[in-house]
Amino acid sequence: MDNQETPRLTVYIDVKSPYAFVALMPTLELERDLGLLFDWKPLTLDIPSYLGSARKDDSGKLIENNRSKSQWSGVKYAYKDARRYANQQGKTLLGTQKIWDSSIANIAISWVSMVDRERLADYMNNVFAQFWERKLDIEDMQVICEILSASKVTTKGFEEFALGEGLEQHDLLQKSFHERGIFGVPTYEFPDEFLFGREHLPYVRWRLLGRPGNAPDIAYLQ
Amino acid sequence: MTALTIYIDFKSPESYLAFHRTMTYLAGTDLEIIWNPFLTSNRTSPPLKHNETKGETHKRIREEHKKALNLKYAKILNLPMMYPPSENASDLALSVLPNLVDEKNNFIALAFKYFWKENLDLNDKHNVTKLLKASKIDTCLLEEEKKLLDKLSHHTELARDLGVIATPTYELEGELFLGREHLPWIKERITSINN
Repeated sequence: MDNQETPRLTVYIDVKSPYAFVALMPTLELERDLGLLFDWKPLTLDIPSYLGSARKDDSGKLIENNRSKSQWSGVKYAYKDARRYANQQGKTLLGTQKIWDSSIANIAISWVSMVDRERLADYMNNVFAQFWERKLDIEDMQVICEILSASKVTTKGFEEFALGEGLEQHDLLQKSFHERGIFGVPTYEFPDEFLFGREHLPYVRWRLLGRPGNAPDIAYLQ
Repeated sequence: MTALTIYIDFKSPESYLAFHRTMTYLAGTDLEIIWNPFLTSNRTSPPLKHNETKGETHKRIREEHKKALNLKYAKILNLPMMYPPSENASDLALSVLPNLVDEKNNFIALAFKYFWKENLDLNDKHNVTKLLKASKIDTCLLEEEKKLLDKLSHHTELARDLGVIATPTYELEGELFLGREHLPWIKERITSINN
């Protein structure tokens, strides 16, 4: 494919989002199929600001709840929905017990893009899969370093990056989203439009292929 | 024959797009489609206000984005779509739905057309009478307006108890799917059930 004729695609993603998790595989497949390199960037969701917050103990009992009935219904459906698609992809998706701060894990996406772009899919596959199996404390710098190492990405300088330049870039990016109309993950951004949700992947593919024939409707790829 | 229940609301733009897409996508599939009403809350984007909280901004831009995407896909699906200038409702037209049998599909198609092409308020008795007449349905149904609307609330509550949260929701063998993006999986499941 001639990259000069292909519009640049930025993909915004957050490790703690179940919908980003199930979008990962089909988006990486699209990238690979078309022989492109998408620009993956972190969008660290501030979930309590729009969906309330809640916390469960180890037994699954609710110990903190700032959500309305309708917010709970929406969250429950979202997890159930994402779980069945994760299962279809042969992955495990266990509900989280709290709303995690995923910024370090997300800054690591920028780190890998910068130091070893070829390993980015490995890092994302590892960190997402293990987080959703409840095997990772993604708020722990050391844990993220271990995932980077397991993905064969250098960790030399990562901590400094994650606490300095990387954090600064990350925070600036987060501040820019609402002004640009971006609010969730996964978001697929072309220079002239953006689309929220993996149901737009057929359209994204169609655009990347140069708009052959009629544009497709939304659909979850199987 | 496999039964697929679909919960819709005429004022829901996603229901409008899903109705037409579903009829095309599942044409030729051996199944019975049951269209059920589900009263959604109005969802017009709140206007930008001074000192908006982060949550309010999130909600506003999310609704604006959904609207832009609905209009985009309406064009792709070749469906006329115009958002009403004011917050029109469709409760009365929707309340008629459970009382219909054979005329259901024509009635639904026309109700969506009235709402999304002609921007008629389908909570207005005059407009709903016109809709019924055009669908060749006896208008005496509307004589018990309050009863119809009470039943609509009841149907909506029953659906909520099943886990329906918005429209369009597809229910296949007790499993719920929100949105027409699930149609490929739904079709595959129906084919598998029928075989």
